Amino acid sequence: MEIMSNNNREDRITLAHGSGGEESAELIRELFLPYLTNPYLEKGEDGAFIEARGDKVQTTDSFTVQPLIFSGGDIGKLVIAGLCNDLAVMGARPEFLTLTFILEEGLLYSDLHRFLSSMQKELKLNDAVVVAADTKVVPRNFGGGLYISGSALGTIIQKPYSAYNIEEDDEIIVSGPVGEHGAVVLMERNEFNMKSDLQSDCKSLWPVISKIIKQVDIVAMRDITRGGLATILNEMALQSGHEFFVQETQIPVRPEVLGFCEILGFHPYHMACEGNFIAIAKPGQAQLAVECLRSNGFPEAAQIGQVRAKLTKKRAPALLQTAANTVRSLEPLRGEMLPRIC
Amino acid sequence: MDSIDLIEPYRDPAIIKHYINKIIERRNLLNKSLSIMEVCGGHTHSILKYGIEKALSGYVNFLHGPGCPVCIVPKERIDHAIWLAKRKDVILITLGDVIRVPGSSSSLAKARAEGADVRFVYSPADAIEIARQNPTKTVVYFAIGFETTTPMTAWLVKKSYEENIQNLFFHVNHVLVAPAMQALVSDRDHKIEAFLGPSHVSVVAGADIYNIFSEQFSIPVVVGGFEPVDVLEAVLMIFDQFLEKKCAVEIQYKRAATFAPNSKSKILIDSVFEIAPQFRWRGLGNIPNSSLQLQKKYKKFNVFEKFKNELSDIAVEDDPGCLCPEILKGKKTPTDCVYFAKTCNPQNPVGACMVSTEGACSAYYQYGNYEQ
Repeated sequence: MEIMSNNNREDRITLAHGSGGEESAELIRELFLPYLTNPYLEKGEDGAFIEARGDKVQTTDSFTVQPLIFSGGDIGKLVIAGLCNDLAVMGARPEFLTLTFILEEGLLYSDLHRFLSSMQKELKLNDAVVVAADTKVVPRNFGGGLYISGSALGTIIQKPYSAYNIEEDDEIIVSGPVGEHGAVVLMERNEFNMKSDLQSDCKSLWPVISKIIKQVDIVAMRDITRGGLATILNEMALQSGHEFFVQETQIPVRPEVLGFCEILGFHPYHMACEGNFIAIAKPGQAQLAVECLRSNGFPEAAQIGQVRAKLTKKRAPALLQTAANTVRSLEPLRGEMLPRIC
Repeated sequence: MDSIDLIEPYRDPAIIKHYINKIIERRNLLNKSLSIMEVCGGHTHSILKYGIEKALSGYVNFLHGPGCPVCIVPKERIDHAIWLAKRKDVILITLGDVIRVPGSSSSLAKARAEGADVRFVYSPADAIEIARQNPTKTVVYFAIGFETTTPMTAWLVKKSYEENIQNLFFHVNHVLVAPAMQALVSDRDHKIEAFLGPSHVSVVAGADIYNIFSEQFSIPVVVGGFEPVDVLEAVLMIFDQFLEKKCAVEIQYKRAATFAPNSKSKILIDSVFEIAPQFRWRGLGNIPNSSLQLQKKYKKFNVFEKFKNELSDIAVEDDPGCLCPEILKGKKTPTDCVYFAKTCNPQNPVGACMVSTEGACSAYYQYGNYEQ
């Protein structure tokens, strides 16, 4: 869709756009509304009135990714996918979002158009709308170009999914190869002078999750974001009170991600994803889950392990069976990710 | 060739199993287990990450050596870095996890949060760019590492000299593997029967740096790669030496390591650095001729010249209850220490072996020692 605008795409955000006066109104009218408009937002009141039916899931998140544009996506796509994915893995259909944009003085209109256009596409995929939004402008060097925070509200379709319901013998599935988003973003920050054809896995999960929850007896799901697979598995294991046991040879990792990690001393299981999730299925359901994922755009989905007995204090919550057929703890990410020295 | 081709065959479960069986077979022929010290933190990491220690339990007793460059930098030197970074006119540049290492009362990460300009680089060459872009600042490169990172620092010093860079200074903490190993085996009660030498050190410095151990101390050395198959093959070679009653320096990592040093890097290093009379290793104390310092020609780049009166050389000792000195000598293991995983963890390290992810205590903490 071609957006009509009196503004030149070379224009930039200025502090005047944050004054709350005419320029702010113009920015919203001419730039934001054409992409995000809907009956709720058009009313332009202090809040949106929503008639609620059914059990709800509410979530919140904020996005400070650098660079704002990366292979496979941009901050706009990431915001909508990120917020909606948090609802999707709880078993809720994403519906109503609110967004706050912190714009840095100097941000190009052309970039903002791009981000808003990505948001529009991703909202459509999720069949969700932005019902309230706000913009603020901070002086140059006080923000990373653009920060976005938001909240999302969704409706439970079948039942809520929760790590607290996980039991012994449940099966652990991962939707696809891990670590791509983290590797792409680190590489494109240009701190390491490396290039690859790798793309971020950034995508909305509701389209596949809405199918899998109808076909498979799922207990819990969680999208793999910061901290990576290892951190999320530890979190879920601790919340469930059960030991998670996964096999290294079953976990899909792309060679580019592995190569990147090998060079820098990072671990693929600590690298962020933005479009993959862990599903815990009832015993005997993993194969069905994997088939469902594979036929719905996740060709590398795999069962990676099982839930075992209740946790005891002496043992780590998540264990990894290595390629050498030994078992070690699958350590969560700790501290800042820094490359090794030699 | 894909990067994966360089990795996959060396992590192949069937090959790993084959080597484990071979080692067990040799151990039974020899009728005794062997205490092998892996000198480098990278090896310690591999051994625990792939569960090799457990797979060979009862056959090989791995002793974890002092080869983690971040771990062995004494606190007073970390204090230097923090003091420098806190100066308003200084940009402090360093590598990797030096940033989180605590000195006597703070760390570079904390100093950065308080406003200090601390930057980590992956390639030391970036330091010259940072110096050029910030002509009004004093840029200090806190150089760290064994033989592996020394050529890059040497290149940087040389380049700075040639290009007459005025605002880049060096805090040199480059140490040498062999003198530290010699200090360990000069101790009468050492338990080391063989060394597993790190491949990347020998890619730069050659394997002949270890001849002294086979010739004077009757301790064989096998230079091995870091993948699990490499480690296992090197261990097997050590057993074969014992079975054949041989004592030699051998190279398992023939893909890149040679007995002679890499001549280009040797010329570069020898033209910039000289052996320093001594270096205080965290956990091991003073070891003579175990580190490098800038030659006279490059004196003006030495941060100790620029801040002569401000950088203290008074030793800051570790908690006397910490077992790191014994662990670095291969006499104790991390789990012998009362602080381990209690008051000492990667977030709040008490001693040398926990401060860097490459340290032995940190590796034990990360990969645990859990039974199936």
